[in-house]
Amino acid sequence: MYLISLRTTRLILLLLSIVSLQGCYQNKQLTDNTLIYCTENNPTSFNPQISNDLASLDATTHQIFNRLVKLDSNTNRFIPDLAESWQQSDDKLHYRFTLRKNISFHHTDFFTPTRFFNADDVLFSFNRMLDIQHPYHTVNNQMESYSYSHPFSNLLSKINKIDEHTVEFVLSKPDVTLLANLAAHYAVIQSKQYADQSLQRGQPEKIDFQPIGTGPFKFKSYTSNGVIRYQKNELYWQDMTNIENLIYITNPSATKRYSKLLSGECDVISYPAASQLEAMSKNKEIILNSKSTSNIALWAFNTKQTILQDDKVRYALSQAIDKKTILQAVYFQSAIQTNTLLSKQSWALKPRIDENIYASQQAKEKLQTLNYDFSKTLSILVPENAAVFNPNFHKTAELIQSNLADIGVMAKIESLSGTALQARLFSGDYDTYLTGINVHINDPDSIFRPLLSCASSPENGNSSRWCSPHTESLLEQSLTESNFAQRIKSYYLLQDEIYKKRPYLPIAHVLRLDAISSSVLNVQVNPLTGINFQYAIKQDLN
Amino acid sequence: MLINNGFNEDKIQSPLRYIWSIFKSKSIAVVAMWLVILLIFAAIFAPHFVPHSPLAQNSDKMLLPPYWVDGGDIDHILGTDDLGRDTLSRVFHGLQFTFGGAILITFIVAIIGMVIGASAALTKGIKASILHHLLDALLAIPSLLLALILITIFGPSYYNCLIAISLSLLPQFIRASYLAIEQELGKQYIIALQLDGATNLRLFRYGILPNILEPTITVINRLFTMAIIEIATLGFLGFGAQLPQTELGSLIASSMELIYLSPWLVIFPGLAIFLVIVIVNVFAEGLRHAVIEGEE
Amino acid sequence: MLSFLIRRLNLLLITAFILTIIAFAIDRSVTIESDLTLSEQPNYFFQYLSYLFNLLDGNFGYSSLDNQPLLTRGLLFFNATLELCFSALLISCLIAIPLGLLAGLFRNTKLDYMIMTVAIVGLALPVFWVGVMAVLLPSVWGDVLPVDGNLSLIYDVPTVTGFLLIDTLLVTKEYGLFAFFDRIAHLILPSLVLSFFLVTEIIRLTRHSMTMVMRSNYIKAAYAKGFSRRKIVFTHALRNALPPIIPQLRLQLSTVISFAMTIEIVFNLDGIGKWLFTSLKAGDYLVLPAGMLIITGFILFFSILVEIIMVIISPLRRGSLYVDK
Repeated sequence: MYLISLRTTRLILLLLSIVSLQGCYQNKQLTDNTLIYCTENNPTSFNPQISNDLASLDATTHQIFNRLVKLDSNTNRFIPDLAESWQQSDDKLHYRFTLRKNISFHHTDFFTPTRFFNADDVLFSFNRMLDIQHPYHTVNNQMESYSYSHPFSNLLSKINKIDEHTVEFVLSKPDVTLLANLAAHYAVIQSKQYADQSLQRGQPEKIDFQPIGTGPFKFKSYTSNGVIRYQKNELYWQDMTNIENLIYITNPSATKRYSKLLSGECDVISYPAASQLEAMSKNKEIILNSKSTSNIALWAFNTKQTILQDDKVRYALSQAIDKKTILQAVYFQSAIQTNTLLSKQSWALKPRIDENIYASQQAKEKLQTLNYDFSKTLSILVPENAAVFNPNFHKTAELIQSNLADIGVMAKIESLSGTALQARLFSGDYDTYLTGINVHINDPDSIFRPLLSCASSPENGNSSRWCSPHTESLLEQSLTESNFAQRIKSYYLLQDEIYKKRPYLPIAHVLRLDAISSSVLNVQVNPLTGINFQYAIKQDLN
Repeated sequence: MLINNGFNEDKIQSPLRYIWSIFKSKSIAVVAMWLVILLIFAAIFAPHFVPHSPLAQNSDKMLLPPYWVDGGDIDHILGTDDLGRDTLSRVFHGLQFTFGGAILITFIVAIIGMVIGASAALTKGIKASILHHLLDALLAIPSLLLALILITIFGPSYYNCLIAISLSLLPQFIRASYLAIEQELGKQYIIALQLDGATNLRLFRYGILPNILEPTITVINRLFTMAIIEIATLGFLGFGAQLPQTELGSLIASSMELIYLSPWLVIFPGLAIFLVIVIVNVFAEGLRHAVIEGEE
Repeated sequence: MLSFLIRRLNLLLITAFILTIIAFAIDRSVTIESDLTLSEQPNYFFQYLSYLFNLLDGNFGYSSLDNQPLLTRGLLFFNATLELCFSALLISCLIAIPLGLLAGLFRNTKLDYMIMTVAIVGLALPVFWVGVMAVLLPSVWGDVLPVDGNLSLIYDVPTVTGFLLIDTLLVTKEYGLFAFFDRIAHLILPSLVLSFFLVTEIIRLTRHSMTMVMRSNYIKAAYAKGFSRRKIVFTHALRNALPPIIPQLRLQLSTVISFAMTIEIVFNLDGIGKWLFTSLKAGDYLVLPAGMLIITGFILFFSILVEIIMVIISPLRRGSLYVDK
């Protein structure tokens, strides 16, 4: 007995000594210059031209690439990036950009550039999107139906190379959004030399998965378990980054991301769960970075369904929904309740006294006077997976379902994903759809057009199947109008129209949230184009 | 298992009574037995006595802690979830899915497995050999993997998950009952019975069954434990019960994102699974001990 | 010995054959008809034959997600799973064998009841729930043990064997032993959770085995000779009580792998369970037959190995092999 206990004690001591190794298992030097970003989703590709999901943008736009111009977040003006300067012609159709010299693309294991950045690279980057004959146009283009979703094909008629360091953009009609579009994520500049080399080797698809750019970090590896490794770009033409190794890891569970932030395994985490925000804001070691975005959660009414054709019915149904509870139960503090499609920051937002219209009893009476058929069950279509604009579609739908039950309308929730959802939307066999929209450039047109234009399909945003000549003409007017006051005016008219017709019930404008460990400074988050680690500094807190 | 056959009354009923009297003397086991009976009642009648509907939302009472914690509400003893649904009611409904499903699986698998195991043990030759090899192959597939395969083919739903788990546990049970019977068959009293001209059925019914009671209890207990863990695991992974169904594993999965805000939502369903397994195991252990003592 | 080997090999082949049929059936039921290479064949029999030849060729198919060969990927992931299983086995042996021996020696005492209670608790805790609860640890304890992932990301360890403990030792040039210790730290919590089940099992088996040995005649003889209890336990009982556990434990291998797969998913560890889970969720169903063949192949191989070892250890068993079958 005595001997046994002695032996067990020895074993326990051994175990304890293994555990006590914990203290020293972390390598100080390495942790100090490595920054780990824990994200929610894998990027679909490493080219923001063909992928517009936020995970891809976060992984590429600011880290790997540069654009010709960028938006200064403080002054809201466009400032030069890869372009040194630009001039606009008098007819407003020609923009001439002078490019910076002696800028090198990334030197990596898989590509070594022999020349500096020049006009050919700019032409390549844009012609890949514009020119249907371009050898790269179809490369990786079958990935999603929404790829190459950029406005350049409508916007530009031609791009001319004037000399090695000058390019000229020719517009098809005067359009004020060119600079905004050139600063957007899909206007990144790729290396033509790398593209040619890949094409020669018969692996053109590599360009989007082993990217080469001019940005502050260069791509090192991406493994199928969701780990992306970047290294500092030693030849970067602007201020060198402080971070030697940048690592992204995908972890779909927000709980896990938070626990890893607490344990120091992640320095920055994306999209903390709405339910964790309160605890985070109390924790001094975590800085919560919240940026309001134009991304909006919507409840779309299928206006082609007979039962929902009447705009008064749609109004009554909108009245029945208690948005405040949805905000509390689903979003906690991660969104702002809204009654408009445009966010508060948008210059086109029509100021109106926008009272909360929630009035359950009134909605019921209204439906009764409209002879609404209460025996019919409304379907609520919901995507299975959470999206940026809605952390939990199903829960939202459950709340809406119980709101509708209050006014005597039966509803059933149908949860679909992927192609099944697309097919369902395409078929038009649904009453309502819980959705939202990601906005990529700071222009009202990028919200209104996908949601309201006849040309936009339900899969691409117009899930209310809204199509009216009046809306269409307003959309066109506001885009061609270069008089700013006139443009605002037509947007005001458009908003009035939408407010009256109610093809959508706007629920909330979501915030983009990132939780950052207090040891990391200067992480910039652009709600449109993604996170930026260029200026990040990791400091030693101990 | 009570027999009201006049001829055999003396032979069989009295050992059972004897075992029962030993069992009664073990207070923990008796408590466990009452708890098991209570659980079965709870699983069957849960919808009739829980205070709230498991799906009834209450936007005024979201994420309440249990009532003994500050801010709790006596109306919701175990608190509420993020939509104001009563945790106690949801856990009881979860018991219906998890515990009830496990009982059902145990019952079906035990009967089918016993029949196949016994017929395999009592027949010889090519049939037994084929079964043996098939079992060897099936036993090599981990039950979770087998369940995953079946669910991938038939689609995830609660009933498919029950079927998949039954099928994945069946080989283990057949193997165990086969081995137990095989062992018993070699004994001399069985040979004596056989020489008496007993049919296989009679041999099994009166010769073997009473004597493999102890290993059978162990195996059934194990079967039940695995069934409940697997139902919950598949529910947790999203391959079992689907959303409005409040299976305990899927309750844990759906509350996972809330674990920092209200850990209770994860703790209670897990605790329920834990307690159910402990209670049933204590009951089975008690029964097994009583049988062993009775035999000695 | 040779005839024993041939007999076992024979059994192995038949079982493997049945498994390939099952794998083929799964493969058929999850693939859509566009699979040209197999559908060219006129009927299921020929389809099966060409499937079998593909398997023998080492061609288990390619992942529809990343176009990697399923066999090599699956094996690498499975090695990670094995690493987890073995570290759990190590932990549980360290904990459970002493406890089981004690329970067997002091049968039906308070100590025995206490140990058996521990065993039931270990069995009753649902592993995935414990895993979920473990993510609360950092908020309670702070930076103690990592609760997620295989290895700190700061170490860029190339996958060579799939056993990260070995792989981290291969990069000592760059990181010293830091990566290795980091790996151990990441393994502790998941193996501990996995060992709950094994502890229960080993306690039960050891207790039973010890009881049987203590009742046997040679122990009684030793007592009669007047040896002290301590000497009897350590020189006679232990030596005979432990080996019978091994074949019993082998039967639990598939259950352990089953639990390990769950733990991988919960703790986000790379391994065959997480690989299957994520692939299935992403719609790549071909991983199922491949994963099944890898796991069952290992279990079969391991079973035979254990049997051979057992035969080598105890000559008594060798004789029994020829008697009735």
